Amino acid sequence: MTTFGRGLRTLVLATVLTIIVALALVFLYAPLDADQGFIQKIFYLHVPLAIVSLCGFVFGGLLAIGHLRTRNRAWDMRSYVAIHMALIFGVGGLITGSIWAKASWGHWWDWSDPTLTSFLIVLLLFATYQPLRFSIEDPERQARYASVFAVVSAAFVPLNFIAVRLAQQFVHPRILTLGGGNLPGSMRLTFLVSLLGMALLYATLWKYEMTAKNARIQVRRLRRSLLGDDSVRPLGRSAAPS
Amino acid sequence: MPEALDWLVGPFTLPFMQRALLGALGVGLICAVIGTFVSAIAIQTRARDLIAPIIGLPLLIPALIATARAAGPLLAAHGSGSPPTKWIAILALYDVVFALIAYAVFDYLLED
Amino acid sequence: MSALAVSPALAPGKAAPYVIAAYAVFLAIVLIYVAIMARRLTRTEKDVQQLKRELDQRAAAAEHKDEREPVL
Repeated sequence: MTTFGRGLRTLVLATVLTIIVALALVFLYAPLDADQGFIQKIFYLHVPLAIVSLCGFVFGGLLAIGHLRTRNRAWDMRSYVAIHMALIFGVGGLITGSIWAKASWGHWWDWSDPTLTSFLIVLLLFATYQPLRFSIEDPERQARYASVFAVVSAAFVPLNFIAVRLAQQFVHPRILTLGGGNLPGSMRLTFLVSLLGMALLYATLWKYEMTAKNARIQVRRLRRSLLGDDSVRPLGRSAAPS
Repeated sequence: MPEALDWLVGPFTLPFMQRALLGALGVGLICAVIGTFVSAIAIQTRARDLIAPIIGLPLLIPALIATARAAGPLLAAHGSGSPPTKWIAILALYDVVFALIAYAVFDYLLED
Repeated sequence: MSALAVSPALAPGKAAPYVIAAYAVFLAIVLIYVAIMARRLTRTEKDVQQLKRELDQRAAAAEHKDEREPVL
């Protein structure tokens, strides 16, 4: 069993530093937007949350491919944690986006905007990952089916994104385009640092969660070997009534 | 009976009918692929009736949107037109990608 | 970019609550996660302590048993 906590301290330091620098840049360096004024500062929080969330889902799918190929359940746990984290980040992105929408458009949600709707659909899809997982009782089959679902859903994310980009609504601010975007230099720097900080935060939390889970598994294993099989309560995540 | 064949095949000489046929094939194919995939997953769970549409609907929504947009001009009240190539192409792309992915992962679902 | 006078958007005074709310949501999510992890870690730590106690007890019992064995 690998030790997960190895690079954790440096990762935490890097994350804290980057987030502090990003916050300083957002509030002290980046200029005010011409159209939206101070409200636009939410952009540096909302867009990194959404981007890291979508990338986290794809990351979870890649880890699930590792599980399907190697049959090693450690990969499945990595994939599970990645998807769980990405879902939380996605909910955060959704909430901050709603706050931004209320401030700049006047209403909390806009069903005619394809970017919003497609992101919601991706979130709802991955929200079914846990119920699906825990309604399968056999652990090996549970891991396998969850990995299959993760792979297909991760493939769905870029497809969805492309379909949205091909639709022609321009209500949602199109800040990032393939041509490098139309952000002025100082805003672009702030945005990139915010994005880096959010990605580092995701990596740190993922690694942290993996380390904690790993430690708990080791302790349970020790306990079972030391105190006997019945001293360890089953993790009991399945839907079985017991 | 060439006249009978004309009745059947005649409409499909028109370009908008050909595109509409492509659209219908596309949406039929994607529903079949996703339906089979989701059912294969759902039979092994406890809440099988519930899980299948919950997983299936988000996966179907881009295809649904593309089909609706493609069929839109056909059903327009005034000045109807032909299904736009863009949406037919998106539907076809979605079909191909999903069929390939489902084919690739299906073995893992049926291992027992 | 002195667009403050021209911008039709909310002035910083009225806009501030929204920005604060958004960043507060983010902070709340991170803090709640840290709290959950802290609770989980204390539980794991308690388990480790219990295992240690059990190990020590067994080591003591083994020594005790050894002392009672006659030295031949």
